[in-house]
Amino acid sequence: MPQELRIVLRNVDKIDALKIDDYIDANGYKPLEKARSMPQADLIQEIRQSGLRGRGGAGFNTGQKLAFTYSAAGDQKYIVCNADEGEPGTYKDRVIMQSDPHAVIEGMAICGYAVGATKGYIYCRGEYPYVAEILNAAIAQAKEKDVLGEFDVEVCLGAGAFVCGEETALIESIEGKRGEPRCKPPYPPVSGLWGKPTVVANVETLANLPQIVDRGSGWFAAIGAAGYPGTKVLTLTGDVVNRKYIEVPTNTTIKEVIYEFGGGIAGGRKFQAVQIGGNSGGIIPESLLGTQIAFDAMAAVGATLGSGAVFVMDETRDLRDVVCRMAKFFEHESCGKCIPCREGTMRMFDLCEKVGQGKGTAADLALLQEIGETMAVACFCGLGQAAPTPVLTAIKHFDLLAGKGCA
Amino acid sequence: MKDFQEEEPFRLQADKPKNWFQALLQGAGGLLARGRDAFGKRAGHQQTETNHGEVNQMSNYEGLFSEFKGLPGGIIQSYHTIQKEVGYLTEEAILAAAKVFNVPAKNAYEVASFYSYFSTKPRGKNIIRICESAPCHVAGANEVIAALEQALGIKVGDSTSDGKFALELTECVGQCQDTPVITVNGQPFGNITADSVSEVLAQF
Ligand SMILES: Cc1cc2nc3c(=O)[nH]c(=O)nc-3n(C[C@H](O)[C@H](O)[C@H](O)COP(=O)(O)O)c2cc1C
Ligand code: FES
Repeated sequence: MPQELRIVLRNVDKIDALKIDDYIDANGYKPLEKARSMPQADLIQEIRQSGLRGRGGAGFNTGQKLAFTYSAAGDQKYIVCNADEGEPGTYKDRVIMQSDPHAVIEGMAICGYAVGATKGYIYCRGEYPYVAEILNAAIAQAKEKDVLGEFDVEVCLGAGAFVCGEETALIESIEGKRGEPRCKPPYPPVSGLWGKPTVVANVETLANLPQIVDRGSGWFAAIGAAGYPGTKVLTLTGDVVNRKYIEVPTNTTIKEVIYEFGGGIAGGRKFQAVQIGGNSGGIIPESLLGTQIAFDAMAAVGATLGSGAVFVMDETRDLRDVVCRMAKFFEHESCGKCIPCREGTMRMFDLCEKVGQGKGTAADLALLQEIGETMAVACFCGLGQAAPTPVLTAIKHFDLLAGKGCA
Repeated sequence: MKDFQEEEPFRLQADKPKNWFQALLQGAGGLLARGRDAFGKRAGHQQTETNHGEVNQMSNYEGLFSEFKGLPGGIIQSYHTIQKEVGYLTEEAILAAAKVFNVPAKNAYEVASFYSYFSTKPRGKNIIRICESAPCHVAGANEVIAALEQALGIKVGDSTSDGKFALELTECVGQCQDTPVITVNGQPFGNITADSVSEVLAQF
């Protein structure tokens, strides 16, 4: 039976999140001290060698990102923690921040030292005001204990916009504007917040850093799948017996996640499909359950790891209805900046509604496919590019016109 | 727009916090007046009819806004504060914010209209949001919507006539271990059923 491995969740139920002394007793803030005793370039090299890749969805090598920001010229640099967590079915960043806020703050301070940034922002989604309170309390304690040195952290509360999880839209939002994505390049490590070199990293990515600094890159690189080492925090939702969160090595298969950790399908029913990574993720049939929950393994089967949401659907679910709901999400969340996304999400939703009502035709599916494929290449940012994924994968793996239990 | 071009730009200056407050307070005064128009005395500010009440309310604002003093990009955070106190963003508040944060009025409107958590229309004091994202959807969000509409006698998007509740839809609020989920004023309530709806409402 595969086991959980808790790195970012190591302190869950073990320490009081609001007691910095508990965190310090659990070896907290010592990795930061260690990091500060290393030359910046060595620290960045260590993080790069660990193989840690972003847990926010794009899977970019974190050490590489730090290296770019370190080399970029700028009188001021920033560390931004992406705590927007907007993918439906995802709450892993919330669990990390609620149970161990100092791990995230320490991770930010490590990045701050590595690239020469003295200011950090945590962009916390508007849906989590109670998490922002915990973060603010933790920051106040860290300042009082003077563990952060010259590094300062501030919490920014979002206001309900999925697109603000996209790193440049997020930066716009911190700057007090509409959360519309910017043209890339330049990427944030070159020109980010207020035009300064900026590291944007996900909560889970940052919470890994103290452990990597403490235990070394070799230790981390040996865990899980070679190309995407470490663990992934997953949140299990839908028709699974155990609707809970887990942290497992990245070479764990989807099947193990659903059947070993999730306890299988609820009510003794049969599996139909699973969507991984939130609404932007692909809908996966039974034949692909052997896939590892690692970035490249998922991409190889036309799916994504994304945020690590695992949404299980049993045989009784009408996929047309579920896919239609997902299309509506994107229609609502498109920021409207670019036409392929603004029009495309609307047209796809219209067509999905028709299909959902059982009135769809083969021509409708062909049109959905054409719109979706166009959006995947023509949309300005990742929102529109990924928006067609659930629809396209559902068409690919299932007979959408047949409806209920159509596998 | 004329106002903004001809006036000396209103800049945030650490040594002039009073101007900053005053501009926002002007907005706040307008907010309170509007709140009354919409919901009579029950807009959640019992004392707003009297001058005394307004003064109290304003000094509260002063305390709340001081948090954002000199904060670059603080317009979004200040909108949160205004909404928490009054429930929505009025035209006056938006114009005041434009001055305080030294942006064109159009930008202040753009921000107010972009984010789904900001409302530019009056609405009920306690904001109920029903998550309709896929995991909540398959767990029965539609039944929860129906139960809430029935219990409150309104449709999604409306407020009760006594100004007590507003009913809105939302996407995932990150409490998916307990689907279906609703939030009231940001506080999550999970595993909601048609029966438990009234228990939640009774708390407000
Ligand atoms: C529409 C959209 C939404 C996103 N939402 C999030 C999010 O909620 N959290 C997150 O960490 N990254 C999100 N991302 C990815 C970020 O743009 C960025 O890649 C990430 O924050 C980088 O951090 P990482 O390298 O640690 O993953 C989103 C991207 C897109 C296109
Ligand atoms: S899907 Fe409803 S709370 Fe996450």
